[in-house]
Amino acid sequence: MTKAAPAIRERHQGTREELSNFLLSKLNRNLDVYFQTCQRCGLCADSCHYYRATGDPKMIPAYKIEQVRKLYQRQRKDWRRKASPWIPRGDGLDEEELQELKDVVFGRCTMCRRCTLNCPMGIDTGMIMRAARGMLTLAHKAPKGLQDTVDIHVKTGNNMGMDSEEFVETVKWMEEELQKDTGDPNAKIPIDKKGAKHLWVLNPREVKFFPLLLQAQAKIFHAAGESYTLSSKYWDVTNYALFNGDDKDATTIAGYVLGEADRLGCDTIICTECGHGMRQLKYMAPIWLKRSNFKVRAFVEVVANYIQSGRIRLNPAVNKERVTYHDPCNQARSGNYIEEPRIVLRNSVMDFVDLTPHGRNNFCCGGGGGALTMSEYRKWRIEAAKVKADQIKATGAKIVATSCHNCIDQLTEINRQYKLNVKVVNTCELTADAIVLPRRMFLSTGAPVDVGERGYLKNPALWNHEVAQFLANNERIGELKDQHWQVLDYVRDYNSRHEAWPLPQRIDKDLGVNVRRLFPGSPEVVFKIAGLAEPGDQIKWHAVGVQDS
Amino acid sequence: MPKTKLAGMEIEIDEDGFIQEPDKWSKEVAEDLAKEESSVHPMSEDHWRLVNYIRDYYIKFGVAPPVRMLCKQNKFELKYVYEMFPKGPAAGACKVAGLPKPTGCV
Repeated sequence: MTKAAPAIRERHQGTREELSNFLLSKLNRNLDVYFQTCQRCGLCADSCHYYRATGDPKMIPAYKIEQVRKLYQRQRKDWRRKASPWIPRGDGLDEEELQELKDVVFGRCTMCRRCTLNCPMGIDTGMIMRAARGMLTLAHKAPKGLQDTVDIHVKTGNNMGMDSEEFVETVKWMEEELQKDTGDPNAKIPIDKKGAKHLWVLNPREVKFFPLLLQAQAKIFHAAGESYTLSSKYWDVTNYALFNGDDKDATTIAGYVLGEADRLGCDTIICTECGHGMRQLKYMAPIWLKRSNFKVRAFVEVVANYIQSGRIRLNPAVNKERVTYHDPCNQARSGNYIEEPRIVLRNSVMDFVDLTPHGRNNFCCGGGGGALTMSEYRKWRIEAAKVKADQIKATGAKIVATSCHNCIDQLTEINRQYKLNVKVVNTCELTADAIVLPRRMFLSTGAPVDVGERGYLKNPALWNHEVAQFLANNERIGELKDQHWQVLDYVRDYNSRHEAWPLPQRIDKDLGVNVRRLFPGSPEVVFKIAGLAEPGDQIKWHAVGVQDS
Repeated sequence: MPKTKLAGMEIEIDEDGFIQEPDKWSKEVAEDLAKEESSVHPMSEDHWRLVNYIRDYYIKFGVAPPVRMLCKQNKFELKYVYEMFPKGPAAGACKVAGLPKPTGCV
């Protein structure tokens, strides 16, 4: 097994003229309006975690915008320069100036876009910063850590330079762990399975250094019986070219994943818990690649969906400690995933508290916009994270969950620097721990009874009152009373006569009860407890009118 | 780039504490770096096995080894690796082994 060190590739360094042209090429209508409408009113100041933590006026978003705006103004090749040649040409962009600009757009902004919400004009600072970052990247001024990440990604197909063989081996290893964990020798993590419904894409961090996260997510997929596949070739969801502003590289990287989705025939891409990865695929890739025939879903969204539709069952009692949730900017503010993570966590843990503020107004962890890869700005990064540290302290939580690998690393660092004494975890870890997998009960006679993944009896012939009570406990219904038994007997009788399920309103009418109140939760609950066989993909309802008897 | 004193030598490090002059790495430097990163100090035999493995792998392939290789080649349990270096194999063990900061979300 030989592996070549991924040589960082050659890149063209832009001349002054090209830098100027690049800036102008980025000047679309939005950017122009932003520059013209910024009143420097400073309402954005308090929204920026950099400014709140340091009080340094150079950290105010309006100041940062001004630095880029000044640059643009000088690039304008308007009539004035022709009419008055004594106006200094001032294309500027000398070394010193570029360095200063670099500090502003890379070091003092994480492109979290919180100021956009506070701005009366709705100015998107993230967009402005990205334009300036693109120019600096062209000038070879982008921070080395960030640029290396992009270069390795373009070169090897993932941002940590893992080869395909190593990736497949790691997945196989986690498949074994999954089989041990679930006790199911048929549990699989499919790779390159053509015709699967979803393509699952990962963050190299979990494959290379934290593979148990991969297993946690696979466990959730397994419990839900999802049809999904990994790709052995391009499986990396991240795209750091979103942060260095290089559209060409960004297009290449986004194209890797979409190419695999086409190859494997998946119309939906499920992104692992990665904030910017989801955002770039969902909102930017359609623009870069000029196509929109694919769907992108975040992992929290998928899990919330499983919970609401009853595809997985969770027991929050295993996570007793107080948990809070950090909203990754790219997911909450730029992706509108606000309710989903809360649905997931409220079902996975006993004690959930929100940060103040949270959701759309949440503060950036401080590591966004690729800041985590830029060692040179670590001081500012940690300083600005004071806001987040105070937020976490105020909740008294013992566990901080988040659904972004970048936030996780920054939060871990905050935890140490500010001595928070919390545990930082991925949301999927809590959910995977809480998952209730198919189980086996023993009757008082000692005979085993198996319950399937969806909560139906594996062998319906074994049904009796003891089993029914066990199933009811499984569904958190509690002790079955006379009215419950009446309904269960009716359902079983109906099913044996018609070989189909009675509509709930039919039961209500015939027995004069309220089934949904007796058996709260999913409508299937009553049929599970009645010991009916697990239906296939489609439930066979006996849809004869309710009047008909 | 800031400098710091490790094992009596001035060594250039980046702000995250990864050394920038790989030639100056030595066992003593590793022990000094391990003061913050390792679970025990001085490092145990297992710690050294891990660190040496990471270093050899890096010299051979130019990248940090994936955690699967760490476990498989050294017969370590995955949990044990995280216990030895609480910050994880990337931010912890790689730093002690004198590697540059790995790319990506680390």
